[in-house]
Amino acid sequence: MKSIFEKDLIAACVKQDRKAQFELFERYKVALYSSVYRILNDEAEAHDALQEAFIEIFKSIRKFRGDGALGAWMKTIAVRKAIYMAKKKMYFTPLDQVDVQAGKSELDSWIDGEMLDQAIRELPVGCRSVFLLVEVEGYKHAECGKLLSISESTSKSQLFYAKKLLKESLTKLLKA
Amino acid sequence: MKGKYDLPEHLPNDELWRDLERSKALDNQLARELKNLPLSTPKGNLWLGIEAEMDQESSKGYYWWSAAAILLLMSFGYLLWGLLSNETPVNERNYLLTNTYSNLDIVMSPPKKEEIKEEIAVNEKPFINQHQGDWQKVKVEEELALEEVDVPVLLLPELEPLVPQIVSISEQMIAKNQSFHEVAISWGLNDKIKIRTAFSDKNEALQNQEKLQQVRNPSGKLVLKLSKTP
Repeated sequence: MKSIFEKDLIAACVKQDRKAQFELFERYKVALYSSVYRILNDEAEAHDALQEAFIEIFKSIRKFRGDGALGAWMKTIAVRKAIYMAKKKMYFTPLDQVDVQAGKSELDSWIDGEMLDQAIRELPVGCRSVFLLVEVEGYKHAECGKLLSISESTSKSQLFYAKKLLKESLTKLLKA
Repeated sequence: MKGKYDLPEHLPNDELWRDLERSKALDNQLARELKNLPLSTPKGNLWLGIEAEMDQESSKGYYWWSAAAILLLMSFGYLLWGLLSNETPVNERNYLLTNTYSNLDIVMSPPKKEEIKEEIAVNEKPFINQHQGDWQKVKVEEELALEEVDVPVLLLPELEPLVPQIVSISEQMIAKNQSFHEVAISWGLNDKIKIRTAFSDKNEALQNQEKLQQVRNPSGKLVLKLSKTP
């Protein structure tokens, strides 16, 4: 029932119906904003990125073929916008200067979503973007590397580094 | 831990503790908790911004479409005017002989030079034929000269000559103002003027001495009284 309604919604959006556009915005704004905000870690920038993303979604919704879910298609656009904005201040820590020895893989206790979110926000922008794209958004390393203009191997090593930092950060949070 | 009911107790699997410990592993915790990440809500004015941006873009689109339509109409009109007008362009009228299928014999000889005859302008003058005693018009070769033409005088505005204003200073004004300085210049009194001519010969020195004497002879005195002007 919902999918049929979504089809109608898409058809109305293709005709640039403002009410349908608003309905689509209301449905997906939280999911998209959460992803964008996590990448950019800045409210104002996330706001701008999401605004641009929605404008692009409404402009190019006629190109949506319906192969996948509409939400996933919209999220791709939003994440790409966020990455484009984050690229301006993105840097990747050179890993030859960092100790990336694999230590104990277990944490001392169990964590929750809030703690993990806090730890993710504390990550440097480069490895945070890799972590979010691969682990949260489900991109492959090759796709992630293409999006961030880095090699596939860099993407892999940055993910490893991000997990190491996350573990350190979560251990501190669990002890606090 | 016996409850209200005498129900039997069951022991968990021996692997349970190990599984629990294993679930503490970072990758396992990440896989579980990434689905539970908190959601964030955007600000309420986000839709207003999107709407404003879309309105601006649609007005821009309308502007470009209308501009394109006007250009199209203008170019169509120009083409139509070109087709309807029968006049061949000037550059094609006489020189468009590039048709290779033409049967016309085009003579490619250089143009003949026409000789220009010089004729003297003549004037017919009546005079009396003495033999027959009758007036006859006889052709007399007489070169016509160009007559003088009265060129109209350019009407330029007459400018009044600039007359310097002479300010006369009355004697009373001079008398009223006291003199502050008096300068006296006298000449012809000093006979001991010597001329230094280091490089001149004797004759030249004598000539110079004579010239100087001529200047010295009319002696006189000039007194200037400088006074404060009113």
